[in-house]
Formats: sequence, structure tokens, C-alpha cells
Amino acid sequence: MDFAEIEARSTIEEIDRIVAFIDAWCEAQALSDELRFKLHLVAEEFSMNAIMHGYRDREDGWIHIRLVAKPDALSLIFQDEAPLFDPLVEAATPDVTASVEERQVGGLGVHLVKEMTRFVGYRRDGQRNVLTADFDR
Amino acid sequence: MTLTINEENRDTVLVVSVSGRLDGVTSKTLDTHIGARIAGGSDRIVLNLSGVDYISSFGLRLVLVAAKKLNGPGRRFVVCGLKDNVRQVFSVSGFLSILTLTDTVDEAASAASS
Repeated sequence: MDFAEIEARSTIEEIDRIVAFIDAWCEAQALSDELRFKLHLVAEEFSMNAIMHGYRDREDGWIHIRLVAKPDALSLIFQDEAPLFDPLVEAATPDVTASVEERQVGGLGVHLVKEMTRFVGYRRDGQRNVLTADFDR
Repeated sequence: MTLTINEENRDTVLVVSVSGRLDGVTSKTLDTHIGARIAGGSDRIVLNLSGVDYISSFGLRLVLVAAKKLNGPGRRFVVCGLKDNVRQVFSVSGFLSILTLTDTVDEAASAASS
């Protein structure tokens, strides 16, 4: 089982480093552009959620991302130590059929994560929020 | 964080061409940029995304905000040049059916000037 992990501070300045980490791993695993795109998207949505809503812009927290490659699947496990925050429940389900006028701004991050993954789950583990996303490969 | 913004006036239409990533950081830059252009009187805008290979919910947000601001008589907002991964994000978010989209900048400029 191949895996890689990165720990970053809870600030948006770290997004660049997370992007580079995912690129390097996708390169090493020879993943398709589509899978690479999905991993970037899910990692960013989880990270931004934790930074903005979990830690509420407190910059001294940490976030941790672990990528795991199995023969038929990939997993992204995201952890932080922010107060209990389950983005999968907090986010309103967007009405994707509403017109431009009626369409609410926001709420699309979790929707995209659900669309891009085979499975996504949240659990509170002690002081940690743990999000797991699985992808078919 | 890499995002490049180029602009070109085509008669009454402002074409804003973007290259790079539209993520939680860079989307704010583009949102501020387009917001300033609209506030300055640009009411027909083409957003050319042919150089964009990544978009997250933050990029979608700025696109929707611009579409809302430019929704109305004499106002136009046209998006063009979606790459496959970007198109898929637009698709699952319902944006393909609510926005005016074209393949090329020429088609977009023409749609925005009509």
C-alpha cells in the first residue's frame, strides 16, 4: 500500500504547498489528469473549510492530509484539530436547477466533493475532525 | 499562487482572459477585478477560461456573482473555452444550463454584443 502525507498550518498560504504535494504524488503514481483534478478539488475544499469554518481563520492550527493508493481505489484522509465541525452536514444542499437570479451563492464545495468521490464520510475522533474520501481508479 | 488576467476590448464587449488555477485564493483576485470593471461601467463581459485547468467552488462562486451582476436588460455575461475538467465541475453544479457558454472567444464576443 503506497501512501504519502503532509502536515500544514491552518492558513491559506499553505494551499500552494498542498497543491505541490498532490502533484508530486500523482506524478509518482502515474494517475490520470481526471483523478489528479479530483484529488486537488477535494483537498482544497476540505482545507478551506477547515481554515475558514473549523479554525475560523485561526492560523495556529494544523491540517493533515494522507493519500493512500490501493489497487482499485484511492483514499484521501483529512484531519484537523478544530472544534467539532462536520462540513457534510453543515452545508446546505444547493438547488442546481435554480436560475441565475434565484441561485444562492455558496454551498457548492461539499456538493462538488460528493460528486467527485465514490464515498465521503466524517467522524469525530477524540479532538480531531476526520474526513475520508474514496475515489475509484 | 498562479493566475494571469489579460483584457481586451472588442467594441462594446470586454474580454477577460484568465490562465492558471481558480481556487480559494486566486478566485478572490479575479472576483475583485471583475467587480471593479462592472462598477466602472463594463456591462458586457466575456470570461475566457481557455487557460484555466482547475476550478473549485470558490471559482464557481465568482462566476455566479458576475452572472448575477450582469443579469438584466443591456447586460451580458458570457463564459467561453471550458476545458474538460472545468466543464465537468460546471456540469455537476448546474451551471451549464443557467449560463451563456460558447466554445470560442469569437462566439462569446458575438453573443455578448447582440
